[in-house]
Amino acid sequence: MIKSFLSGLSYSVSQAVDSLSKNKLMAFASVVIVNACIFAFALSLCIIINISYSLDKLEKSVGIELYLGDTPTDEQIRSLKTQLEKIPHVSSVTYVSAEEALEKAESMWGAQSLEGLKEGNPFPRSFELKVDGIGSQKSVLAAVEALRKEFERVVANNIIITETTTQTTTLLTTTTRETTTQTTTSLTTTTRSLPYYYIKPRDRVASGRAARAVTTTQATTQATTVAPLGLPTPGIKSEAATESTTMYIPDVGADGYIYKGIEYISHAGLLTDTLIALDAAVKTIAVLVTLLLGAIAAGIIINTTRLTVMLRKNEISIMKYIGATDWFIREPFVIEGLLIGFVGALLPCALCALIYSRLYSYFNTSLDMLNTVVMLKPTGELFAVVTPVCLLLGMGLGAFAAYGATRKYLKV
Amino acid sequence: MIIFDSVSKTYEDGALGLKNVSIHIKKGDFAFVTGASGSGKSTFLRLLLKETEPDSGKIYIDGNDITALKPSRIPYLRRKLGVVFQDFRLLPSKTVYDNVAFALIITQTPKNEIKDRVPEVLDLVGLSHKHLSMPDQLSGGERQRVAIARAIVNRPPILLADEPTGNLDPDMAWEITELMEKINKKGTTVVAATHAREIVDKLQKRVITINKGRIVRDVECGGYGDD
Repeated sequence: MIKSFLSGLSYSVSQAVDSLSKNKLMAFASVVIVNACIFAFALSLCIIINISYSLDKLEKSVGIELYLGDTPTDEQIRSLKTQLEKIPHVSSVTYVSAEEALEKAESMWGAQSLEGLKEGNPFPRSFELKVDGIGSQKSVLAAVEALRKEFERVVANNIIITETTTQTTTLLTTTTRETTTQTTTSLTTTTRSLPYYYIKPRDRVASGRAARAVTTTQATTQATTVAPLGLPTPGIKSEAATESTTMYIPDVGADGYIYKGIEYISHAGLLTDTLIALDAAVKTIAVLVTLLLGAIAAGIIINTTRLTVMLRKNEISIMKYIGATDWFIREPFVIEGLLIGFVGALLPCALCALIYSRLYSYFNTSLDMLNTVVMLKPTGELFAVVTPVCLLLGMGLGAFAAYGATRKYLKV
Repeated sequence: MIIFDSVSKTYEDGALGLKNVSIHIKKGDFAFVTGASGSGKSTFLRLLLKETEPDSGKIYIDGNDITALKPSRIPYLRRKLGVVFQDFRLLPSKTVYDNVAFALIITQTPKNEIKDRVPEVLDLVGLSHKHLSMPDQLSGGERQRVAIARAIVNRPPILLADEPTGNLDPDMAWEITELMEKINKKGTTVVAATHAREIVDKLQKRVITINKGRIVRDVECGGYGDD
């Protein structure tokens, strides 16, 4: 049975080849049409795959940076790292020391431009977080914010704000012939000494240096007039000073609060949101465009095949009268379709690959500054996918079209 | 060999095909089917070839009820019926040899057998010397001979001919008829639908005349008769 199948197949193949060689012009026309269709399809496929690739790479490079203050100890930072690593969807946590940050800056902008910094290394220590998928960015960020407050309570535990209150009371007696007036003046001075970082920006002195203390003064004056009865007493000043110290533990996370642990969190919020929206949009458009082009290619190839089969409808009917089975008649046409589809798809792929490899090398040499935004897939990798897809499409359509077209004329 | 049992056929557009026709053609018979155009003679052949279905009645070929035949089996039926048409219907892109061989290829006959049988039938029809010619290089008579060769190379029990001499001049027409008679003498049942009065008269074989869908005449040895 297999033997008869193979011999039948070899007959069909020889018939197909024979027919193609006898109708060279028609075959050529068909191949050219498939070329054009598949070329357009291949181009769009290349573009789509690259856009998707760029987006994926871009998404993976977006991360969160945590800049640390000077207060946390090495021990605290180590434990923070462990905590950060535990956050779900975090793919990597990298610690960047101040020295490393300085080196990075020097390598980017040159050591000379940094010479002007007199206070030694101004760069803070930091953590670089990478998230495993752009969709998780928001949840990771929320977790980091929560961790920031936790960490702050650990770091800021020993900071105390001192509040000193001084109260001065002055008694002044004024006597005239008829009256004695006692005036009591009470002066309350409250001094709150705060570390610089806890002072709200608007309280800071314009010159930039902070007021180390905030002083509030409250004065009350009370005057009592009495009729002369007792002996007048010249003004007596009495002073009573009361000092009280109150300790405050800072209210972490309150409005205007300035962190000492993780000073600053940097994340490309807008970019992330844009990328997420773009990703979905691009992938949808990609699928639609590909399907559309595939449909167009299918339509054109099917029509062309129909024409070629129609031109041979007499042959087909004669074969049917003699007693040939449908498949016997159909097979050579299907094989013709496969052959035309194969050659028709192979050439555009080769051409596309050639053009693309040129573009790729140009891109990676002359235009490599764009590499951070747009990334191209290597030629080999790309065409390992594009070529089979196009071949499948071309051959599939060719065979399917031949099958469909012959069906019509096989109804005798 | 061929039995029509109360077969009727009316076409969709209302044209009458056959009306309650019953015929028995025995093995080895040579029968002419005559009648005016539209009488039903082409319907008769079409029903035999399964080109169309009867509205009622049954048709038997070699004992088998072909009215009940599944569409997938039709090609196998047609291989048993060697067919010859008025317009020859040769494959234009194949040589004489290949045209005849084609009938054997579709039945998956082994190559060595093909090599034997094709020359055999080409010799029978007298065209051995033209086996490499293309159809457009042949005369009408020669083309019909190739068609006959193709029709019989599979050794079918029946040879059907639909106006086989319609496109031929009288001399060629007679040649073809003689050839068909030769084939019939070898044992093949021959049924030929024809308009060729002279040939029918000359041959004096069984004549079945159909008029307006009915058999009006069925004689064992007869002439063309009146239409």
